[in-house]
Amino acid sequence: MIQTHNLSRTFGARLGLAPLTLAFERQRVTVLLGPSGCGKSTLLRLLIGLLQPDSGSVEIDGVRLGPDTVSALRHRTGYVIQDGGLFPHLSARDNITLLARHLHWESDRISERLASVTALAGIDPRLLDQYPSTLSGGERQRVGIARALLLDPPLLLCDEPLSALDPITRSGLQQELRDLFDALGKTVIWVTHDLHEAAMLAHDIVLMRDGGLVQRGSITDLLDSPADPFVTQFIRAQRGWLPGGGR
Amino acid sequence: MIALALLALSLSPAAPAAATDEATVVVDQAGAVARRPVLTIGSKRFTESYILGEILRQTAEAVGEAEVRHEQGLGNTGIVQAALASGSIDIYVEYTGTLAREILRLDDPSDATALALALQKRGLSTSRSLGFNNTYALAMAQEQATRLGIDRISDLVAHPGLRFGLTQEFIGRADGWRGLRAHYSLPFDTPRGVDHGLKFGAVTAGQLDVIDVYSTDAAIERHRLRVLVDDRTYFPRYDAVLLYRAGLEQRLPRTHAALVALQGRLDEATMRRLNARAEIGGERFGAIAAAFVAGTGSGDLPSDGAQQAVTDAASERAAGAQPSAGAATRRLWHALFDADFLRLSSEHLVLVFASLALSALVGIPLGIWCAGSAAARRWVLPVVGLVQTIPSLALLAFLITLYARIGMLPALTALFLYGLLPIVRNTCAGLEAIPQSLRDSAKALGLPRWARLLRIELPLALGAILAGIQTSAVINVGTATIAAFIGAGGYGERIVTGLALNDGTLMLAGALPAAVLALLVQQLFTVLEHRLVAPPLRASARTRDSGADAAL
Repeated sequence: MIQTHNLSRTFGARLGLAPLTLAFERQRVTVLLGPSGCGKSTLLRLLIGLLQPDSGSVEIDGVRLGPDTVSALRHRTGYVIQDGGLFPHLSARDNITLLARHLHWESDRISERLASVTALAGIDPRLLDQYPSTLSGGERQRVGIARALLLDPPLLLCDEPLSALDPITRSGLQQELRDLFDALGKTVIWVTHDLHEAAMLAHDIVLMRDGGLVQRGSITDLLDSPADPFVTQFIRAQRGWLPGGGR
Repeated sequence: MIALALLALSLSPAAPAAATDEATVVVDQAGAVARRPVLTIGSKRFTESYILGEILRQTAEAVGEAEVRHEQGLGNTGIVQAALASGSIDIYVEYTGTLAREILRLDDPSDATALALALQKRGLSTSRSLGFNNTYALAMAQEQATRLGIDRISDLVAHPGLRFGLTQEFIGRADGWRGLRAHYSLPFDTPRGVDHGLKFGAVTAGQLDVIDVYSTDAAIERHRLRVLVDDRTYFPRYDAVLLYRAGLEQRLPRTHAALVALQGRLDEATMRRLNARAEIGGERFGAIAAAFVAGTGSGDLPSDGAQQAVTDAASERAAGAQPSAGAATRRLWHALFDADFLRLSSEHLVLVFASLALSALVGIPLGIWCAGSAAARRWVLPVVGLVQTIPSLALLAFLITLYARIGMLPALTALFLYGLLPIVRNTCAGLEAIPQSLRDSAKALGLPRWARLLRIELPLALGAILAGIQTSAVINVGTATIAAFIGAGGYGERIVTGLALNDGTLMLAGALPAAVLALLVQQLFTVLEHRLVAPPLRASARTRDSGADAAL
């Protein structure tokens, strides 16, 4: 379980995240949902130590995030960002296996694990020798996911990983990933501004605005009993004239 | 391209020098056996000084008391003085005017007591005059001087439109241009500096009107110049004397006696003829000195076959006469692959690549530091940039004083310092250009600081870092020619001997290999980039990709 206590962060005069105490359940997909600047990415970056909080703390499975524990916690966490965050000077294979090579795994163990994560992420093995610049957006995203899965971490943090993809690729990947997360039993925290993506993936949605929590619940809770006019407004803006879907 | 390289090289101050390192090795080995004392002679970078240095060397060698070396063509008075003060040289020929005003800065150059006292304070001694007064003088092309009716320096006042071409040293000296202008109330601004070897051609071609000369310049007669009379006696006497470290008489008494015996043996006519044998006859300094020391050297041009060869060379080089293309090519070919080619090449390569390796070894860590720390960036970049603005001669003079020696060490240090800026700046810029998302990805993977640097950041910045090293290398190939100023060798030796002798072929024989080396270095880095940088990050790949994007 992941727990924050009064976690907060400002950027100069601008509020990034107001003091927030929140728990994330194990083996569930929690979506941090909200418009740009609502603090959802800030929260995610605080959870993996890419930002230092002004106050408060993060605890992952009882271990408090700090300078001494951050490396070990990162090895137990997969991090996926838009476009995969791939290193352009490394081939797809080298991107995926970078951490294993850094940890001096045996080459047999590396190839074995490489085969299994490429299969999980649906990557054509013929693409492994290509550099990121010659892969399509969807392929790059799959490589990014395979890289995050390499050490089989119990926790995955995903920062709008699919938002640069075309709608068809995106929708296909959403379904695949939902099945994958369920099958592997990962704890997932997924950031998006897209209500449909949230509805497709989330067991649990955290709707945020202006650095704070607005409402937490399932997509049905948000649709049926909005806590606040903002929730209704946010849902209307995205549903448009289409009928809303639920999970 | 080559013309550009030549221009760049001829603009960078440079000078010839002896094979000091080879000599040192030989002497060290001999010294281990025989333990002979060493006498090091110096000379400045103009024909007369080279010849006098060789005369001293051969005179001292004939005594057999010491191992004799000759550090030839040291940059200018400042550098020779630094070398003398540090003991890198023991003796050289100086001129009394320079000594009194420029070196000792005496108010009254004719005060013998003050002179002796000032010398003693510095631990120096002088001989009496070698027999000639090589004073500074102003000169003009004869036809023009006649047309304008100019005989004396004071006549210049009536012609404020005249164009002056003066050597940097004459412009800067206490006994040079500024004093002269004030003394005669000359209505002229301070002109740009022109190299001593180049200004004769310029005055003959009508690009300059008035130049400074030495009164024993061989070029005065050759270029049909009129020396203007110093009618208000501004220029002090520049009698040639031996200037040496005190104690030479006790340390090497017989050598000292033989050298001092040169007093009064060289009159102005003799000196001018010796200079002409080098500049018009194209004879080697050593050969001219040998003839003089052997007693046959009244200074006349040699006879017989040698005379014929000398005449051929002289007629080729006479002003206005165009040598046949075949003969010029043959001469250049010979000059290029002269016996010293391998030595100069290896010296130049050592200068360029040893300093470059040091610059990279220090510059890359400094660049990494700058990329990671705003404070470092505020201090390191300006300091490294400031080093770049120090004139090479000033830096060399400072380093000679610091190390108390001339040669490779100060030259390498100067090149190392000049090479830092492009490497530090490119390393820092290359690292800073890495997108934040990639830095975050590397951190989030759980890679420690050093692993992120080695596996991600440096490989991503490698193209920029290599480009910085390449810039330093190419600049170094050109700048290394200044090493010749302080006896570190390299192609600069030929360029500045060529300048001193007004010998374009010899300059070309130094500048061409340097230009070719610069091109080879470019090529080497193209290969290195191809070997080391990941394909998507290569400069060629970047252009190709953007081309493909544009096509879409």
